[in-house]
Amino acid sequence: MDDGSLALALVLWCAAVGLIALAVSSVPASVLAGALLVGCVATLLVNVALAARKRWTSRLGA
Amino acid sequence: MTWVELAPTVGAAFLASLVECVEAATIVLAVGTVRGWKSAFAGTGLALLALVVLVVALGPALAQLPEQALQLFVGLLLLLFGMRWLRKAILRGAGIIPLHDEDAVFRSETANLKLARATERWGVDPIAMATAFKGVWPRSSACSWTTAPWLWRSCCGARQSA
Repeated sequence: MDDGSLALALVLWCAAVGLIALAVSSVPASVLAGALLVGCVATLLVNVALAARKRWTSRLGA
Repeated sequence: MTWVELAPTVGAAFLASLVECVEAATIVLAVGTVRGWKSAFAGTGLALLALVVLVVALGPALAQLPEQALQLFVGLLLLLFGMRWLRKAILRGAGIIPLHDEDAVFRSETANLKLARATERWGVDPIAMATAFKGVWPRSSACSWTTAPWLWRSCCGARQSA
């Protein structure tokens, strides 16, 4: 888990929300904004958790 | 624009640039101490000059781009930079990766510069100049990337209120 995977996941999430906004015009902007925020925070937390687990595993294995 | 409107913009841009400025100053300090101040300042000056040339050359071109596309691009860049810094901060806070140590950076840069052979061309040391350039150029570019949106916001705000 490095910076690259975080950047890629964030770009993909932004693109997905953007596509939903284009495809379903009835979704309110506030809902899309909320989904964007929650998705970005979740992506960050998952990335941090995976990076921490990987580093601890390598430390314990060494 | 009044100072009340301007203060958050200036404050945010200043804080965003301060970290990069400290890192660049550490490297220039190491270069100046070990290889001489003339070459360190020459490299710093060259990096700042390159940045000014880039901003002057590309700055007016920004006005030609569609505003929404530019907002999307700058917003995405800010999101990626910000999340990357936040990720590092969380990992450092949790003790997973070591804290950023400017003393260690200074010691490492000094040791590397001491190992390099002393050479001089046109009155300056190319190794020292290149090291100072490499230390200042990416950080000053990062500063301009992080401050550009704030400046853009101020300009747009000023244009809308005019």
